Amino acid sequence: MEDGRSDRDAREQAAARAPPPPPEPRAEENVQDAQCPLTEKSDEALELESSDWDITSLSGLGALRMLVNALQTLADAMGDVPPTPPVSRPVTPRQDDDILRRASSPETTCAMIIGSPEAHPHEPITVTVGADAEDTTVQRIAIARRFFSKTVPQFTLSDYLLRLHHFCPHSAGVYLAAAAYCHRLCVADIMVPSTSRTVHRLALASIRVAAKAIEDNKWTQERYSKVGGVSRVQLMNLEVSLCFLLDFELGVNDRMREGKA
Amino acid sequence: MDKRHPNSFQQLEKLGEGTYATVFKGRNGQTGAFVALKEIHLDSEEGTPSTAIREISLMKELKHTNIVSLYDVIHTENKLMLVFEYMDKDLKKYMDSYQSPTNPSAPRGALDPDVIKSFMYQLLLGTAFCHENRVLHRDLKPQNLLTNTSGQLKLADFGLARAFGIPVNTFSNEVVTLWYRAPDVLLGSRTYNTSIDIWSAGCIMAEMYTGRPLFPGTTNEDQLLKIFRLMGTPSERSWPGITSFPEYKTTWPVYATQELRAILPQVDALGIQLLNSMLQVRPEMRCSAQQALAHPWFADVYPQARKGEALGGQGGGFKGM
Repeated sequence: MEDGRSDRDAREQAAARAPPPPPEPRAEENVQDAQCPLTEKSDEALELESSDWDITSLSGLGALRMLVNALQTLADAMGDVPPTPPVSRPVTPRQDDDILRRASSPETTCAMIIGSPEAHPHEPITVTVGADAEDTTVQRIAIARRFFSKTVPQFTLSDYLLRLHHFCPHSAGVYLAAAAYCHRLCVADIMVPSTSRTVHRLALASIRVAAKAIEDNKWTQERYSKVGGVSRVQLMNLEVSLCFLLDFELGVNDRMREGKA
Repeated sequence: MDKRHPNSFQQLEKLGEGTYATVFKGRNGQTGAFVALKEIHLDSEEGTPSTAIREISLMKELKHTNIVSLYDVIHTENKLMLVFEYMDKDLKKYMDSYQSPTNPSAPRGALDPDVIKSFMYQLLLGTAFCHENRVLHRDLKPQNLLTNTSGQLKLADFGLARAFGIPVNTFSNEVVTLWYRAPDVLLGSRTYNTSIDIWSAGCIMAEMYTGRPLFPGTTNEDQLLKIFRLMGTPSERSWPGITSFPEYKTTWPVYATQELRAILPQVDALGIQLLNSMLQVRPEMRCSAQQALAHPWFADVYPQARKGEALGGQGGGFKGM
């Protein structure tokens, strides 16, 4: 009976011991081709007053315009709010500066650099388990500093995001989710003030995190950070910061969409 | 330095290594309870991995007895540490180490029918909960199902999962580990839905009976042919619209449909009926998780499994945090 065991059995045994590798949804190259037809969708931003707008009729560009309008309105209304100074700004050893410079994008061809952040690159942020309330607040303030640019970027938010959309387009759902994140941060929870110094970074990080959370296709970190005018390290810091400020509640549901509309 | 982590965890032995994370056993410094620590390295090449972003955001929403609980997320210099409920073994390891005490002639890895029924019920409860909350798991397989000594089974690893029902253009079809991938995904579909998780569940059910994967394909094409050899090669008549799938080939050998009964003689008649409704090649013909749970095969499932309670018995079971 032992001899009767066929080759096929043996092969299947071997196969059973070595399961296939996990799938890699982002490895696909032509996902973008599968974009739903945009022909019938409107590129115009929908009027925010109407409460029953049809989300499925909106194109990516239309949704982006809604995001721009909302953020710009907020920023105009808010004026310039300076960031809360750090409790103690750590002295950075000389060596760290070198590391930072090496890590930043070597290319200077980028047309829209949004400058360095107000927060010190290595200003500690620690969101940890079981931290008491006061600690959390201090952490949140430290995190919020990362969204401040030192100076107001010279181009409008609209120009900035349209360029981003030109090189790294996303679908409507991503922009609406990003708008919902910004709404929670700036209006509902008031963690980061929306000013002309913060909106660029806020929008950049929100769109990035929304895309990673809900879309399968994603642009490389390299490309996105270059188009966004920040270094890859800065982009990563913004992503993590945003996730923690939002407490990782990144799902998009009807409640969130209603809240924004 | 450690004042940063008032709720610190002692890192114990490595439990496994995934594609984007390493999992360690951990112990809560204060309560002494075991946890699983999933360590995700952050680098500027990829930024925050989307697998981590999804896993955290989805698991925060999905609170269910048959879905592993995420307790916390810790961010340190260059890594994220996800703190999960501790489970003893994944279903793959459980099967690999299992030899039926009641039926010594059963092949190694084949589970007892009562256990299979209980595990399937819990797998479908967890899946139904995901689907009700508009989440596709997209990677159901024995390695991603965790068990504990109380006989509970929970869904884990939501790194590939995604929400559906929102206007997002891109559905990748590089999803689900090959052996558990539904025929419509193999054919290149980008409009798949919850039915792809049901296909995986069907494959897992068959595997629990035999201890071996049902369709151990080596490539996309080979996987399809392994499925057709059993379920029959589909045609425009049996599956209207199949010729318009990107991966449709006119060169497929024409296989006749085989009886599942003949391949899986150890499964009882009702079980075969349920398997048949989960392993439909046409996605729209597959039953939903809710429908599967209502199947008469589950009429005599352990009442504890039905309520999602620990089965107890062996060693008092696991104490949660």
